[in-house]
Amino acid sequence: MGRPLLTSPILCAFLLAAPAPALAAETVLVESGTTMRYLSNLSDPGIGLSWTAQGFNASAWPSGVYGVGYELATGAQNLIRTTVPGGSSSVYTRATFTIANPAAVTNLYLGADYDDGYAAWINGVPVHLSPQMPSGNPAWNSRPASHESTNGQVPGYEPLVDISSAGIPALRAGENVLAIGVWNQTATSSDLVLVPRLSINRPVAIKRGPYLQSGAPDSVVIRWRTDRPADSRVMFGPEPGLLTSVVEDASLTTDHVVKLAGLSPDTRYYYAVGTTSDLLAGADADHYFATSPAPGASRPTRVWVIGDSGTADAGARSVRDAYEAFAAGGPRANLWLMLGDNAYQDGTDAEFQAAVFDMYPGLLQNTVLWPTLGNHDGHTADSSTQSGPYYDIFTLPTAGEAGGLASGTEAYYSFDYGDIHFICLESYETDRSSGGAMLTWLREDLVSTNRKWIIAFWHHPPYSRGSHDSDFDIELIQMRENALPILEQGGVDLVLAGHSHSYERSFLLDRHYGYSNTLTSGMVKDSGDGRDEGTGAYRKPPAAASPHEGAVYVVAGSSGSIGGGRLNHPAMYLSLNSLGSLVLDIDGRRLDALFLDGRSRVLDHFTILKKTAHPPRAVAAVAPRVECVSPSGAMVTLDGSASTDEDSAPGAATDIVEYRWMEDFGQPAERLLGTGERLDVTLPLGSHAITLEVIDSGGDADTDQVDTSVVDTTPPEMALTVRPETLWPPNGRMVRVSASVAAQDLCGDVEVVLESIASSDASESPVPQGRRGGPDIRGAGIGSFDLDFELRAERAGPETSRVYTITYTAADRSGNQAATSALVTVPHDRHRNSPSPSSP
Amino acid sequence: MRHPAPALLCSLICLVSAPPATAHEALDRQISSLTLRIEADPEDAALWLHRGELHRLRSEWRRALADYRVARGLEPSLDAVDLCLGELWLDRGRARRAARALDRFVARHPGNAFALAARARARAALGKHLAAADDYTSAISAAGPASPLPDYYLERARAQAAAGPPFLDAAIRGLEEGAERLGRPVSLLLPLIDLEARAGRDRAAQAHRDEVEAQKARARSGGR
Repeated sequence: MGRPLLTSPILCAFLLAAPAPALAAETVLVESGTTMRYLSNLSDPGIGLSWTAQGFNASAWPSGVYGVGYELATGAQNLIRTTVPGGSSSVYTRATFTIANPAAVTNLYLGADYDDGYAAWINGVPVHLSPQMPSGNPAWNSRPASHESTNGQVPGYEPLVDISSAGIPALRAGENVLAIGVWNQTATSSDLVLVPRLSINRPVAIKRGPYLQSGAPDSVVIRWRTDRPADSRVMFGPEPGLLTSVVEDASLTTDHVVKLAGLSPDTRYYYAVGTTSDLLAGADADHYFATSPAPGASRPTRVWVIGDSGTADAGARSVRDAYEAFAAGGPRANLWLMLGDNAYQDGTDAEFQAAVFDMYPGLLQNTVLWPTLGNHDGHTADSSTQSGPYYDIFTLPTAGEAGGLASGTEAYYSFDYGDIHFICLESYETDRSSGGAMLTWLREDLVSTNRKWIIAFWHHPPYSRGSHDSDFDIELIQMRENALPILEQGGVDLVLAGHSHSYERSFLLDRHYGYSNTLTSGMVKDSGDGRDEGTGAYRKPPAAASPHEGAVYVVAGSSGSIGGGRLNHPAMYLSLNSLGSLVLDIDGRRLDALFLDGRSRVLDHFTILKKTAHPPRAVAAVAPRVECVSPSGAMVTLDGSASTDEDSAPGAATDIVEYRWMEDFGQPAERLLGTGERLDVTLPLGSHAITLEVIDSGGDADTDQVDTSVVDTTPPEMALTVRPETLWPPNGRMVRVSASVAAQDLCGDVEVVLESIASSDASESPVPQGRRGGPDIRGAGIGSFDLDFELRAERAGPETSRVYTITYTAADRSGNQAATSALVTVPHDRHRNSPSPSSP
Repeated sequence: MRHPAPALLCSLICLVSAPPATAHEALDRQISSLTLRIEADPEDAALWLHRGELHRLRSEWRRALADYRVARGLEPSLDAVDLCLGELWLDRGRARRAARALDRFVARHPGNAFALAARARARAALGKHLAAADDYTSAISAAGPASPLPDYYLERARAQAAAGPPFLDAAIRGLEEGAERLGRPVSLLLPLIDLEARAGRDRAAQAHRDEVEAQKARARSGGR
């Protein structure tokens, strides 16, 4: 496991101020086209091995360039640039190269395209003998024990052999000599070829991966293999060019396992892998991973499922290519399940290389792979000790690292992806009894999850009549008898298996634990096709982990080859002898599955809905007009109690789980008013479009819209006083009068204006002129909020009074208006100063 | 309890006589295929043993035994015959015979975890609970630095508990050891609760119960 050295992006940004390290370049000293001197041997040249020494004088040898040899038939002619006589038993060659500083040489690699065997020396020190060569010092006519020839259009130097231990000490500063000979297996051979390649400071090369394991909301494991031991570094970040975080492990290994922790859920990260000195892969748009969604979060999820895919042949390739063509037009898989028999025949490391890593390199570098053990994988893997290639290659959760309960073993495990709980069982080498550790764990794991969907997978199918028969094979029988009751009690929705090389898909089943002939109609909860356009999707109650509500069982073991069989298990809706893979799309309460064949054709599909049978019906009620009672408006009662759902208990709407009241539903200004069957909500003055949305337990929804208005029909209330109320003495002077107006309205602001000032002295109407000249009313802003004005203290004669009537009006926002008046009197004497306004 | 074909057996047989290409037939077809190969090469003991094993998996005991005998006759040093015999007798509920066959195998392969566990089951069936527990301990040791399945700890504890009250403590200690090594899986904590309760240690039982509930709550919340 990688030891996180640096995980702070900020810290790393400083430490990694330089760009990500580029791929280091090796120095090639000798290769095709390199000048050399050579000696072809039709007879003994009589020089023993002296020709290999650095000081040997080869100036008399002809000069040429690599490759050297002859071709009397066809095959190697494109490799040979220096031809020697046919029938040569061997050819000795010498090439010089310069090393400025031997201490700076970290490694030395030699490879060759050759036929039939070769041996090499550096400065006279033997550094390599090809496997065909007899042991010991070769003579001019030594015979390789076997034939070797790649002989393509271009030199194939692989395998490159690390000759550092013998070669580096032999190097000298300055000129060095590579002496390399090639030998024929027989003198009558039609060809002899040597095209060597010698290089120094060859960087570590990646041989496998990178690939992603144990994805979780906050972590992921990245693995890769190098051609020789090296330390490990993973850089990652939000963009391919912004890999600002790094995790390193200083230990030297060829199988690199680095865990990245502290990640954000549901987030895409780009990454690169390498050593602390070299970048080996990544830092581009193709190397990324996405963390799992937060636990329980619902998001569209695609799962690619392949079973028995480990054939490493055209069949597996066609299934892969068909899926990639299919996925090119839609979302990529978020995760990827392998249902066992991942590498034929025996799950060896080399077979995994061919069947997994060479087969799916693109998918592996950006999709987390979750495998289960198949019987063929089990030939070389031992679940009892979690050892062997399968367990060495995969890093799987044992302690609930990715969700679920700790299983204590990589043989079986569970994990969450958002609102989906995945359970992987081991059906081959692990105790399948109901009292065993695996099924004990399973029981507890199921009661510990509250995810919306439960998908289980393992290798041996509980129902199959493909290339294996679930009435006969013990693993199949025991998984059916022992695991299925627990899973169905735990509310499993979908069970995936392989083993039979076919595609078989069941009806929605429950409690079928016996042989195929014990299947009854009561065990088939839905005998339809599970298709929207057919008999309808399979429906299950929406509650998570509802026991015994039915599950669909799929055998998807034809991702590498087809195996035929009777294909007539009565539990199956459909059985096909076709290559293919399964694609799952899960979104909220809907799971769509389709079987995609090797030509991207959809040969089957079905849907599971976690919904009730009937949608709800929303009925909203509200008073059409409500009198405003405060500046906030009015309390309005929204009533959804007339809403119905046929899935409810009689006379109730118990299946409706949520009432949502919204205003301006569907408009940019949409706002949630509140929730509840009845809702008292304060609405402001004006018209309101109210929408009720009801949602049932299956997630179905309905809406109903009603309109209501909050109105204001009540005029404002007013109070008016003026000071002074009496003008005395009636000396004709202008007297300042101040009014005080109080106006209020329940629904808010009011506008107050001075409506009029009238004098009782008709002769001076409308603008009375004082006897001294000028108006009797001055400074009054009629029609405005004017509280101060001047009135003339004057009357028509000593026997009469004058009365000024001051009137204000107040209007609210709804246009309701009120008026009030006050009097200012100029009495005829000091004792009669309060006549009514109508007094003459 | 039935166990599947062991990995060791497959490594002994299947690698020797892997069927061609990607054939992956049902047992009967595999048997037919092997029969043809035996006819072509009747001296190959591994083929006989392989076919016998397929017969065993089909519960065809007589045929399995007959093939095992031929395999042994052809190659007396083929140790896997004893392992297969042990499994066959275990399948048939003949624990004594199973134990004898497995004794022979374990004597030559003392570090084979699968064989040790198989013999432990035979011994447990014979009432030799402590000997069975010893075999499980050896099987656990045989796993080396790798992690053994929880089953070995579980079955060892069951064997020790079956040996009587004096061995309850050993059973509890063994389960604790396994729980600690394997990350405290519920498959070991649940029997631990049971054994602690049987031993009268209610507080310890309750503590494990709380631990299990805490694990479940954490799983429900998605916390890790």
